[in-house]
Formats: sequence, C-alpha cells, structure tokens
Amino acid sequence: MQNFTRTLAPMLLSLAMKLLLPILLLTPCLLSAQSAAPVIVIEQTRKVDVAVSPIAGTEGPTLTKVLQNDLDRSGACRVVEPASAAFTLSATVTPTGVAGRAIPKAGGAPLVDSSFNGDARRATHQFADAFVEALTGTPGFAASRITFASASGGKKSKVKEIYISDIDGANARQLTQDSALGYCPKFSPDGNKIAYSSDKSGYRDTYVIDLPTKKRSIVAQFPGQNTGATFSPDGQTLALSLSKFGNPEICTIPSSGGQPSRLTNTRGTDCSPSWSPDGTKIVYVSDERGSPGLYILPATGGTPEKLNTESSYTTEPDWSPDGKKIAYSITSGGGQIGVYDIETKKARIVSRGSGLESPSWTRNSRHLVCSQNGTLVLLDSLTGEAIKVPNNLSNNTEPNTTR
Amino acid sequence: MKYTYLSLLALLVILSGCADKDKKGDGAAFGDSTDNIYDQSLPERSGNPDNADYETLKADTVFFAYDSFTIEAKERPKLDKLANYLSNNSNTKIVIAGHTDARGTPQYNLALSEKRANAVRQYLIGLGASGSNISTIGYGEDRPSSEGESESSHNSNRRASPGILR
Repeated sequence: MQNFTRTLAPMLLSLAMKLLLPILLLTPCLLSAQSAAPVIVIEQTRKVDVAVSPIAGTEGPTLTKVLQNDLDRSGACRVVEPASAAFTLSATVTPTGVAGRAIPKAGGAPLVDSSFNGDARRATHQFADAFVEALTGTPGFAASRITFASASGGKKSKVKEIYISDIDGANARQLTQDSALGYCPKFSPDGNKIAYSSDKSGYRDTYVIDLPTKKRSIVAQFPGQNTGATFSPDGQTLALSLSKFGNPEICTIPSSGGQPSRLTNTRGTDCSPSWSPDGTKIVYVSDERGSPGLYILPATGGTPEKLNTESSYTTEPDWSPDGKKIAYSITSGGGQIGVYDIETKKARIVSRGSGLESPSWTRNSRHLVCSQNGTLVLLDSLTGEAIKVPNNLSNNTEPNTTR
Repeated sequence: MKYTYLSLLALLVILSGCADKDKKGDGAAFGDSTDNIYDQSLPERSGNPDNADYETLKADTVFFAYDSFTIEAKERPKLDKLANYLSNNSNTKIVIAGHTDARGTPQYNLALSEKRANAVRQYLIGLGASGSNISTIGYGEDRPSSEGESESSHNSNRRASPGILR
C-alpha cells in the first residue's frame, strides 16, 4: 500500500477528483466494515471505468475478450465504451507474449507500460493483473489457476478425478486417471505441486503431483485415512487429517513424506487444516463440542481456540493470503459462505443463494472460488456476487486456487 | 468373553486416569479424560476394502443419526452378533466402511464416516474382538446405498457396513 502511494502519488495528483474517489474506495483497508451479526453485507463498491482497444492479429478478438473478462471479474473495474473510460488499455501480441499499456484519460504517464511473457492468453492475464495491482495496490488474480475434483461420470460412478484449469475456466485438463475417489486437491505455494487424497489403493492415501515433471509420489499411507493435506507457506510441511491413532486428528508431515507430528488429541472429528500465511497457526474443523466448528491452534501444537462464527455446522476453513480473514462453509444455512475477521473476531455471511461450499481465497483476499451445486463460481466477498467459472465438466467440487 | 470386556474397561479407566494427570488445571480444557478410549491405533492395512464382501454381514450394518457417530442402543444387538461372528472366525479380517448422507461438505463427511467406522471398531474391541482384525475406511457421501435427497435416503446412507476382506 505504501509502495502504491509512493509510486502513484504524482500521477494521482494529476487526476481529477472523480478518479481519485473510486480508487480510494477500492483500497481494501477501507472496505473492511463489519456488521455485528452474521448477516449479508452488500458493499456498494465503486468501480473504475475502463475500455479495451481491440487487439490486432488472428488471436486478437479472443484476447480482447479475455482482457475484458479479466477486468470485469477483478471487482476493480467496469468495462465501458472508450469515450467514458478513465483508462484505455491496449495490447500488442509480440513473439514472446504481449506488450500492454494503460493510458489515463486525464493524461500523464501510462499506469502500465510493460511486456508480459508466455503464451498470449497467459500474458494477457498478467497484463490485467498488473493493471489491477497498479490501480488498487492489491494483486490481481487473472493469471491464477484452479485445481478441483470432478465426478464428470456422475456421482454413481464412484470416480472423482483431479483437474486443473485457468481461473476463468479455460484450459481445463484432467490430471489423474485413478478411477477412484479423489479429494481435496491443494496447490503448493509455488503452484508447481498438487497434494490430494485418493482411495485408488483401496484405502485413502495422500499423493503429491509434481506438475512440471508430471510425477506423482505417495506421501502418507498410514492405517486409516490420510486426507485434507495442505502445504505450509514455505512448502516444506503438509498439515493433514490422519486416523492412524483410531480417530481423525490434525497432524503435520514433511511434504515429501515421513513420520507425523500429532497436533490434536481429542474425541472429535478433526479435519480440513488450513495454514495462516505466516505459517505459525493452523485453522481446522472439529466437532469436539457438538456440531462441527472452527478452531485455531499453533502449527507446532498447543491449545486450540474455538472461533465464534455465530453459525453452527461450519467447515472447510481457508485462511486469506493477507492473514486477516478465514472463509468457511456454513452447512446449516443450506450452503453459504462465511468470513471470520481475525482482528475484530466478527463473522459475516458473504454469499447469496444456497448450495455454496469449499471456499478458496484468490490472492487479493477478496474473491473466493467456491463450488455451488457442482458448478465452480467466483464469489466476491464484498458484494456477494457469484459468477460462474465455466467448464464442460459436471459435479465439480473442492476448488483450490494458486496464490 | 465377559472377563475380557471387564479387564479392558479396567484398563481404560487406568489409562484415562493417567491422561488426567497430564492435564493442567484448566478443567474446561479441550477434550476430557475419556480421550484415550478413542486412542487405539489402527492395525497395519490388509486386503482391499474395494473388493471386500459386504453381502455376508449386510444384516449387521449399523445406522446413525444425523451428524452423529454414537452407536445407538437399537443398533447394538447387531454388533453383539458381529462380535460373536468374529470370535468364531478368529482368522477372518474385516473392514468397517463408514458412510454419511449427502448433506455437509466433503472433507468433514470423509472424517465423520471414518469416525463412524472407528466407533464400530471400538465397540467390537470392547466386546472382546481383536482390533488387529478390524480395518476401517470412510467413504464420506460418495458411495450412497440410496440415491436422492429424501429423508429415507439420508437415513439409509448414514451407515457403517462390515465387509469381509479377502
């Protein structure tokens, strides 16, 4: 944020107040108003009007749409006609990727003027992210990817394979061919690995896929279930739920496999660990005190603290990249998404409709990819708007995003 | 049989007593002195639950209330029968496959179904069965015995089924 102010101050001064206002409104720290009770809060966020000049070349029309779509989904912009846009974005396809510029209508230096490498589609996503970050001070997520489980053969097939796609739904591809029930794929912090669990051996084990080499290794195959594995922020450790002790407990193991350290010791069903971004804490689910709720404990073990979300039956916690919030599923409400604020200890429901579960924060700590009745959606936790992440698969569950 | 059960109970009382000593003053601390009742390690894996025979012992399938792993009184005669079967077939290894209904989220349902399977396993051990012959697996909501969202579907899906490993 400080960096944002420093680099952009001269430019902002040259802009009219009508431009300043929406930019300030978009700053995340000003948008964290919390209500006392867990009710739906619809924040009226102002968006910056932007236009995209048609991109030339054979891929041009597609890339133009990709860029417009990214800007729309960012939550920071509204795509309008050039005449009323505060910024106009233009891009040129180059041999190595895309060169992108964002010119302010008010004049002055371009907000973005850079080259982005990679295939043209990916480079276009990076251009969108660079623009959103310059505008808001918070990283965009258009270049992120998602992994998820899908039972495209239908629930009866008893088969769920692991898939990966871009966060806009494009480039979906099947990673596993286990012909088994695959669950809970989670990216490593660098996005190069995916941990997931599968009962392909007959029992539920934890595997890690190395994406660059396409190699898979088994990292936990203790008696009972080995599931819900999540990489620590440094990538060295996995937190997971093991039942080898006779009861599902939260444990950690080295991310390449090894002996577990047991963190919980309860009568409850302990599962779904998620790390704080500094790696010192783990939030997880336990039904130790009745219906499932959320607990935080030190990553090295210690006394758990129950979070008061004011909802019963809360599961699937996901700690936000900025460390300030925990998103979770609320089953008691017919499938809603809640967000718990660590500092204020207040919870609120951020979704509309029903059938939502499995929230996973994008890197802006504002949007969440969720599953809604088998479809993946991108949920804006500030507005409650959910838009589909389209793909040709059905029964999509447990999405996880790269950060 | 009865003697084994009683001595096991005695052992559990001793174990839980030990656990209590380890706890610091805060009486409202997480968990309580019964923790160790559930703390019986699972045996090394054997067989493949996927290929187990779930037909022979089908009548002994235990059903559960919503979001519960408690073995209700009405279900206990089935486990008396199953414990008896195990004591008459001491070389037979079985797996208890736990399931949930379609409500709830995937990871919790996996854990809850595993917990149901474990509850049955612990109960059988309490009746004198050998824990090393009883494996567990939780299938969550993904292997329903009855499709659909009706209450009767939900009731029949919340179960723990004994299967003979082969």
